Amino acid sequence: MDFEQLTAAVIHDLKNQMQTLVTESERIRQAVPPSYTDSMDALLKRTRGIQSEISQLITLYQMKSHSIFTSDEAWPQSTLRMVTEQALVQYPGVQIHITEGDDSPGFYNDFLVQMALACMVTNSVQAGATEVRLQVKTEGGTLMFSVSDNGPGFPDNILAGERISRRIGGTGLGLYFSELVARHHHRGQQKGHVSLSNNPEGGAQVTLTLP
Amino acid sequence: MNSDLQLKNKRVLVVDDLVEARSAMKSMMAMLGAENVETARDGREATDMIMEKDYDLVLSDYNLGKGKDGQQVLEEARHTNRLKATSVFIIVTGENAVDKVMGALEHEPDGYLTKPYTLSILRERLTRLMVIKDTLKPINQAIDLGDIDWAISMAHNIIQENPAYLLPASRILGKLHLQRQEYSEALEAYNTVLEQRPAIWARLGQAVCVYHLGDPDKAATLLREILIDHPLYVQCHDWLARIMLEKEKKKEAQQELQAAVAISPRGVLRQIELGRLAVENDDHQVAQTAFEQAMRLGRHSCYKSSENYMNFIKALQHNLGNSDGKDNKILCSKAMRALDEVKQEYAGHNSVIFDANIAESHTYHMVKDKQRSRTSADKAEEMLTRIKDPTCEQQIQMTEIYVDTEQMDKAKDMLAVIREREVPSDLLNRLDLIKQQVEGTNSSYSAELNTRGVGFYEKGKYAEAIAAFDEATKYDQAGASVLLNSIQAKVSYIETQQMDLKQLKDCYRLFRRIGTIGQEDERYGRYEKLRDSCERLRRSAGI
Repeated sequence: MDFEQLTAAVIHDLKNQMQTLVTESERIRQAVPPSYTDSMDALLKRTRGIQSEISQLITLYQMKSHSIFTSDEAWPQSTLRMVTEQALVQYPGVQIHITEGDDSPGFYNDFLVQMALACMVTNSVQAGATEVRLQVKTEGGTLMFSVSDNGPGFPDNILAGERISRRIGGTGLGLYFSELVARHHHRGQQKGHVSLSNNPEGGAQVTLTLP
Repeated sequence: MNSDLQLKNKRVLVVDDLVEARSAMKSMMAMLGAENVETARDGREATDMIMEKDYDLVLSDYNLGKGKDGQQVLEEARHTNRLKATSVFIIVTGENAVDKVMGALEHEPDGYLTKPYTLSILRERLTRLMVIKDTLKPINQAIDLGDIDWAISMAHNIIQENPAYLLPASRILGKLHLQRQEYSEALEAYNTVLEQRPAIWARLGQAVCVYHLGDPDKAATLLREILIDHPLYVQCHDWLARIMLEKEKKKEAQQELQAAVAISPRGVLRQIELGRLAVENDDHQVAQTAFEQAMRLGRHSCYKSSENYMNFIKALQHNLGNSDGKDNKILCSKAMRALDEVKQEYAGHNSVIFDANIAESHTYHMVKDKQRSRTSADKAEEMLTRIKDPTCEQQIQMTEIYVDTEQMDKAKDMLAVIREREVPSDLLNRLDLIKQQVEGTNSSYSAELNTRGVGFYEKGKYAEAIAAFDEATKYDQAGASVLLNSIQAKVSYIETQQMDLKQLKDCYRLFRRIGTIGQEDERYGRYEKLRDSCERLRRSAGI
């Protein structure tokens, strides 16, 4: 077993242990008296944070080793709800809204898209946003997920195409990861992509377009 | 969304081999309001429970340790119609192992759940799947009642009234049309989906329709395109194999099936198909592996069959014949294990046990273990007497084993029996081969007996010499020299020991067999001399 395989095995094991930990914590949270709920929430928040980063790590590893992520029927509204729920636990001070829309299923890898959107939310929060809005639109067969916030917006160098930011506290790889996820989805010659912009009324907007 | 999930009165079955995972799922289901949750620890237990009770919702892990996996539980449940079309079956898989599971299944689950999942993910997923199932219920009820016309018209209704259900409803619609071989209608359903979403199953459906509508080349192209995007979509390989087979490209067909089993090694039927194709292609290594898998996988499934065992042994024997000897021991013990198992599993099935003993004897023969080969041959012989109306093939098999174990008399007798019946044309070659062997071995065997007889004779052991020559002259091919030797031994015996009328009569019988020998024949002198001796003995005996 070489080093890389060993690392993969350890991370995989970590992931499984995290799953047990999260499940147990959720069970305990239901069982404890209400006065402890806050402490449990704080614990869960960290635990879920670690869990999601481990998932990201594994996914990056798998994308690098050319694993296949198959698309399946998935519901954009469900995807947004999952992202919101996860974010609310991780960032209780931030307001997250979903703009309701078309509820028909799409065909994509739910797991990857959720992770990409979660990265975008994390980016927003870390840039200082206090409100994040998630939305999905369909145009013909194309799905457009967008995350917009009330933060300072993207600096020019990022809008110009630079991807690795040196923001403190995050991995800074969120956009890079999102682009990987977008490109993974394609339909014939059309590939998915990520576009960045700043809202006229202020704040950043990221759109993940899946063909 | 929580209010949509009505699990209270649903009968739920949770299947997982790991106790923590099982209880985690069970407690989550309780939190979601399910009151009637049962659990199973492995595939066998799950199948037994599904056979016994109606469940509304089954959540099964894909990986269930030894024995059946979640896929097999699902396939059996649907195959035996024990799971109604209206009930929900969800496969739970480790992260992204879902890729390996998806597309491998002929009977697809209603949905997948990827580990790790949280309570809210589970709730969201279940709600979606149950709402779909509920919306599609009129279609599935019609299917359960066998009213396909009604099911099709219900599907059209649902799509028209609720475009959000275009995908799940079209998926069933396409399948129903395919079942009824209405390929243009099925193609239309799939094309409509593909205008909206790049759903992989719709792409496969499209290719299948194109194939049935008479354009296998275009179908093959479409299938290859799907495989570029989704290399693990096993059914594409299956269809490509089918197309290649139709074009008589057996090697290519085999390659496709090999690719398919590499991705999804657990499909018994696919393994069997690969095995058969490999045999046709004379690729006995692949055949051996395929049948070995089929045997192993079939052990716990409804596809269990003694044929898998025997096909495995046949392929293995080919490899035994080709191997340079160092693998023989391993191969032989593999064969014996399989044969022991088949004998145990099919005890009381005389024909199966007969086949197994034949195979056993032949395998031992191939590794030159004469003693064991003979023991197994005896067991086969005994078993054949218990079979009421043995088939021609069984008799031929037995004869082959008689030849292997050098029981030429029995082989000859069996050939005589076979001569009385009509031999199917596909067995004629085998029969001819046996005949050649019997005759070929006979003359050499008869020669060997003759040599032995001469040895005894030279030592003055006339009685032993007579026995050996008697054995040698039993064969029709025994030549004049052997016959003369036999006469000479008998004459010497009578002259030196005592008068024996039976032996003397035998001498005359042997002379009749020799017929006349011309004066120019080198054996003429000996012939005349022995005739005189016999005449003398006859007179002295007063006959």
